[in-house]
Amino acid sequence: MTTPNPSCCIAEHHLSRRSFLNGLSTAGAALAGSVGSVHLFGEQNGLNEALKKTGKRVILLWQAGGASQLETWNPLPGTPNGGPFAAIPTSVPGVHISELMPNMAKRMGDVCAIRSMKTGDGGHGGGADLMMRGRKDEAALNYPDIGAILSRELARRDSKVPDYVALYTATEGRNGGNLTSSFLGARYNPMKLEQEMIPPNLSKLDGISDADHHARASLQALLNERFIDGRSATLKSLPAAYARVHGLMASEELFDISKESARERVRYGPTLFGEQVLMARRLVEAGVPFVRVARAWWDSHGQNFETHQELVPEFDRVLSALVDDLKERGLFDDVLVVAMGEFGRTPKINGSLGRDHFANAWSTCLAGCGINGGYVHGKTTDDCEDVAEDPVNAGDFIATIFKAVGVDPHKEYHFGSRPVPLVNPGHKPIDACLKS
Amino acid sequence: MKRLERAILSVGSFLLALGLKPACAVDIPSPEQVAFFEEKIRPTLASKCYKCHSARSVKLKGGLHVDNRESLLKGGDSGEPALIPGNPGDSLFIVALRHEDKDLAMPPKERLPDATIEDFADWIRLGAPFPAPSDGDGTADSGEIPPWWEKYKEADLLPRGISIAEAVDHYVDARIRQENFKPAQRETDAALARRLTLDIAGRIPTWAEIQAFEAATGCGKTGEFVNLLLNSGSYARHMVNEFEWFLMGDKGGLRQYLEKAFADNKSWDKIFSDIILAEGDAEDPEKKELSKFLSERVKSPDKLTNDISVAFFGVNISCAQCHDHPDVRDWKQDHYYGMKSFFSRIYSNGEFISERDYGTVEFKTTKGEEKKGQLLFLDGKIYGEPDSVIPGKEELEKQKKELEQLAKEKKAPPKPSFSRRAKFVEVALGESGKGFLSRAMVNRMWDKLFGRGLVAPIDQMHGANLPSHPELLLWLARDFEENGYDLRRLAKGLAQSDTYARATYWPSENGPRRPDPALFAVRESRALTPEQYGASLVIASSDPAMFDPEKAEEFSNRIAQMENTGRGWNRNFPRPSNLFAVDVGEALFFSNNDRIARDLLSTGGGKLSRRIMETGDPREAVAIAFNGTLSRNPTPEELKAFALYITEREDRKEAAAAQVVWALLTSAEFRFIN
Repeated sequence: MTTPNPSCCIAEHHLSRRSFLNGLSTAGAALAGSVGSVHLFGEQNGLNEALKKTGKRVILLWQAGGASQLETWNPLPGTPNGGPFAAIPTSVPGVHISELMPNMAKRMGDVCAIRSMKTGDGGHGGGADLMMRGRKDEAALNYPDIGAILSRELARRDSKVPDYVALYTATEGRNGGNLTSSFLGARYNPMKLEQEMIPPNLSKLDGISDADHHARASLQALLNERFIDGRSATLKSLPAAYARVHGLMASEELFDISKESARERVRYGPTLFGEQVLMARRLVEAGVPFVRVARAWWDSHGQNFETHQELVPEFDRVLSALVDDLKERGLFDDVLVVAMGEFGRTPKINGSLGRDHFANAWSTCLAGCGINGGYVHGKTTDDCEDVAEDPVNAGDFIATIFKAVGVDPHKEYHFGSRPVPLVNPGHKPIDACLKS
Repeated sequence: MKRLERAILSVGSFLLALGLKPACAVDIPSPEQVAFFEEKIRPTLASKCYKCHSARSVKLKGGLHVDNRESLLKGGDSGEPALIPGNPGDSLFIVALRHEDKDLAMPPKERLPDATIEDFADWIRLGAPFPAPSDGDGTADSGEIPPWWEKYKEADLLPRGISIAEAVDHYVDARIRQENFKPAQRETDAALARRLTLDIAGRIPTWAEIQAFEAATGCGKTGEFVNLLLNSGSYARHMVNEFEWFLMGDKGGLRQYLEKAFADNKSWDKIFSDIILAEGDAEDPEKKELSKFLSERVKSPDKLTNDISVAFFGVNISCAQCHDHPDVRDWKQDHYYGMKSFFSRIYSNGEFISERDYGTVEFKTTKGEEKKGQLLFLDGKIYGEPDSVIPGKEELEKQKKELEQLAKEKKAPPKPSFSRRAKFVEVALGESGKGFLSRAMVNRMWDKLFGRGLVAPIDQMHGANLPSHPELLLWLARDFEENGYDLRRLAKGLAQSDTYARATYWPSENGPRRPDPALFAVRESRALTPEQYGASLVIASSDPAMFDPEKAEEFSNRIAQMENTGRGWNRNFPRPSNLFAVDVGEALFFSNNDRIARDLLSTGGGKLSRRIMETGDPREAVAIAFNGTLSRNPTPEELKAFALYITEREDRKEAAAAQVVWALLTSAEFRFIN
């Protein structure tokens, strides 16, 4: 059993999955042959599948617009840039965080805060693309984002749930990070839940009975069985996709958070963000490998302190609820939680009492799977204008995420004949943030 | 014994050809040896072995490096040498390549083609010369290694007088024989007509078209059918879809120009120069549209350089932006910045495109040397130009103001006294440059019609990624150049070959192993593009009686209208890439989306579902449905199953008809070109 939820209907399909996998691996070889690349698909039966059995998953809380490090993980009260909020002690001796996060202060031993993000791109578009990939696109190559890569690395071939789900709370900055699977293929594009909390085309239309819905699928299967044998392996992807339809339709309930207990719903709070993170937990519990929940809009050029007074306590409540919930369900060792945005905010307070874009010395947070809880990485200068110790760039940060869930960041895909490692050369995981 | 003889023969003739003697130790490889190594050996080592056996390996396997001669002589963890110069038979390297020993079979998951293994054996017989890799100083040294095509003398190619189809079959069949395969059989007429119509007209054929093709006789019937397609509006519309996508991506923007170009069969060299020399215009929508290729990219000279190189020459030189290509000796930083120099003076002003009279590309090599880009084309030649002077600050200010004024007045900016892009077009169409343009287009057309380029992928045409059929590519390129870069002629010639007509089905009695797609011994299926799928869905979901071959004008108007409607479905389908797999989102869309039920499965007038419903005999209804959607009759088993399906649903005839259509339209046979 790979997922802690015994009802997620994987074990009983073991046999069919096996034959399905075999089919796909031949498909992979033929496709790979046509582009002169054997590495992208060549791995399916062996190592990679073994890794997938570990069932690692990721929830990314995306602070769209850029949250202030000073009002969250790296407070500097009493300094000219410090702002009005105090710092409070946490469960980790000597570590203080903003008073706006009392719940996380009690759980500091569960998370690793990085205070020395130095990523170099202070634009919303460029910064978000960078943080979702650990590198910049090139003229000739758009890189898949980390969600697409991890869903490809962690998703089971015959999964009855989506591989990558992205939720968003608002319209502003909705496309932040340009989520795309690029050359990894359409399967790993995110299923975006923006207008509604339920994915499109998941429910049967009224015009067809349940029995007929299955019956016409068998007619299609009859055609495919006769035709596909002895032909190109690429054809096998079609029955493979259609075979997932009824499983996914059955997962409709997953997207219904009214199935959660009142206790859970209260714990995450009544906001849309809270509900979406609760949904994210439902999804990873059922085996979805990567879920991003984006909360907008942190871009506090004016009224920084009011904005953060509103958003940080919500963030604090939701993140702490998620940590507790994952721990209670025994999922905390298998699910990595990442909290970040495209950048932080300037220490200098501007004339509108706002803070502007700042990528020079900001904070992110990691928790759960593979993470060294209670550790704080890096230091800023006293005025927070720069990193004083252990600067972390986007590539190293992304490499750390890969390693935390057991994926080799130096693994290579091939785009045409060009090798494309998961992170660019020269970047490596920050081992101190990882459980040894 | 036989193998040994063949080996001796092959090395004998090979050595003779190069005028070489085998040696037991080679200190300084001769230029011929270098060429052989760079062409046959290094690319395979790099693509098949380096991942696990080189300084680049993340995890070195077996302690063996194969990226230098010394390590090969020393061997890996086993302590035995990996190769013995002059003696391939006793070299572990060759034993491993041949997969003779289960425990020592390399690469582990694929056996390399026999010809490649023989190349390695030849190389070891020669003493395994291993020239050091390029020193990576960014300098173009194309004089040192001749480009791959120079090895093939023009006189050795098949003569000019034969048809394209004859040349194709000659070269392809020779290679199939060499690899000891028997090609797949010829496709049935109906399936061939379906393939041709999808490839050339971008849609499935109607039942009437299939019947006409089946009824025709004579060996010229494929040619006549292809002519009909090429002269139809569908061909031009299909080519517009394809070319607009590869030139402009999802944004589009060259539609009007391309529609006219393909309707008039404008030659490819002309389309190329039109696009590169476009000047735009504020008042003239046609000129403005034509300049889109440049104006969309002019802000990033790197993007312009890269996209022009990929689209027109099949070379993706973007790696050389930052470093010499590690495995490709023909791509240096000099080449990249040389190509960029041709375009770096292009700018847009208002709706116009022009070029400055000054400006130089400067770059830093990986060794830190500062260099200036020169007009260096892919042929490795530097082209001269008049000296330019950078104007002083005041002059620049003045020019800036003038341009602002001209933009305001919607007038064209001044032309440069020397146009670098005009020079570029001249070079690219000149004696030394034109091969790049013609080979790339021939390869692209081949890829389109055969599902895989003679060089694959099509943007990697370089010395470390040689064509599967080099002489054929060169013959086709010469033919294309000498016959006015005529795209219709090229498409027609390729489509009439026996190679094109091969079946996708590889029966197990033909041998357990499906041949490498690069042999073109059997046809590979490929997914429909969004436009092909959209148009085909609309046509297939219509009552076949809608298409009356007797009424030619009504027929072509109706098809045009349906192709147009089909484009409305585009956004629902991904554009197939090398890694295409049907996406589960698509499966859900077809399974549960209201638009599918309402439009494609509808039992309204003129729809296939209605025709099925109204046909009294279920068996006849099934035959109509199969012919309208899959261009064939059902097999007895299919006929039985589908007729029974309809009979069992007497109480809900509409639903039964719609479900039958659904199963056919979503089948793999419909989703792919087979």
